[in-house]
Amino acid sequence: MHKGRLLMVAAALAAAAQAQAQGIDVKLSGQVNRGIMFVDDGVQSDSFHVDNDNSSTRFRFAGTGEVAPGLKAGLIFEVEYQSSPSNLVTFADRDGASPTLDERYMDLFFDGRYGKLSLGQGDGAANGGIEVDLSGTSVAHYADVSATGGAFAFRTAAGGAGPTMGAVLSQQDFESRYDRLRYDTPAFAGARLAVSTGAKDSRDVTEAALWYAADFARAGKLAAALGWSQEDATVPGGIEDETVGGSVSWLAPGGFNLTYGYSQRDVAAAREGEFNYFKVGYKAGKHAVSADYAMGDDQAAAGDEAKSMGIAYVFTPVAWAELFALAKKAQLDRAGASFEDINLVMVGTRLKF
Amino acid sequence: MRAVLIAAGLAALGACAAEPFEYRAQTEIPEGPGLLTGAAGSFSLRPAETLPPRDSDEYREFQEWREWKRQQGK
Repeated sequence: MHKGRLLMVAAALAAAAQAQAQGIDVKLSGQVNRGIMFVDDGVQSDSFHVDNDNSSTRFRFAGTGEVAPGLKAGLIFEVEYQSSPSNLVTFADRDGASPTLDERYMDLFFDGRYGKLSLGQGDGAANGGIEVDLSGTSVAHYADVSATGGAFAFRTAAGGAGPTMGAVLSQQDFESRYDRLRYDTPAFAGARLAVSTGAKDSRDVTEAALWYAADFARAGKLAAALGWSQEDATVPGGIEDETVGGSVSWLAPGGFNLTYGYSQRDVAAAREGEFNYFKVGYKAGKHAVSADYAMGDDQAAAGDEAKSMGIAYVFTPVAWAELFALAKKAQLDRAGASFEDINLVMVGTRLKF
Repeated sequence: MRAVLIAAGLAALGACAAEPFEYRAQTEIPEGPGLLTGAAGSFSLRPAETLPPRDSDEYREFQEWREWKRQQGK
């Protein structure tokens, strides 16, 4: 492990000790999520031992404490540690480089009657806004369809390599996590507004989102998000990368569920990439099944039409263990080229420790 | 256009009577019990002087859980 990574963990432990001294109760939790993935790109096929990037292997320190009546302060320190991530393995690199600790959250916050203010590395205001999902099968598949097999390239029958699945089927979920200042309003009737500003990849980033979650009793549960983000141009006169989109998921009392997500992003000077995601599922007790269908248009090149369709099953025998199975097919239509389909099967388990 | 429709839908829903809940993505570390952490779902890092007294309910529950884990391991 790199010296820097050790220092990062030591800093977290020191922060935990300091938090204890201040009366904050710090909790350590985490998960391991592993699978075996089989991929056939029409030319080549092989199996892979992977870390399921739908919800990577990770651990976290988290704690909250009251700093004044009605005002809580807290911290989240979370890192992931992936060996052979399912979104990065390829036929040429079946196990990837040695795993490293990668930052997810180094965040602190104050939460009170006027809302929540967060500072540090953490979710942008709209992060996850394309991925709202109540199906119970997100550990196997969700709007981020490239989280499994995203680095595999579409290939011609002769073996020529085209774009990767991730390049043509991104869910374009805004700006993910970055160093930012974020404010969330208090929830009103299940709705809240969030805004954030910060820096990512040396670009200024601004985001805003409306989040909603409510239980309509006999009409089921509904969760939704609508977001906007903008990255400043890297060079004077360059494009400002703007993304708009949202998602909505409905879970009926009987377990039937529907999910839809949409995003549109400025991916080049005169090109906007689009993404549409549909999911239908059913969950009952310890079992959840779903089928999804994703479409990515114009993402890597004008005229590209990519599709992904999958089915998944998740079995949760106890609260801390999930067993999952996923089968999916990805296709790419590009003018002047003929690519083979990519077929993928993954089985695995996520254990919370 | 779709964004406007989603916004309008959210606004309409906000006006309806419903019980709010906190949406949590399933792709995050699950809440609830853990394999090693038991019912608490996390290891609590506390100074020794803040550990629960031996006659507290919390301490008794921990002992019961530890005994249960020991039985499971047989």
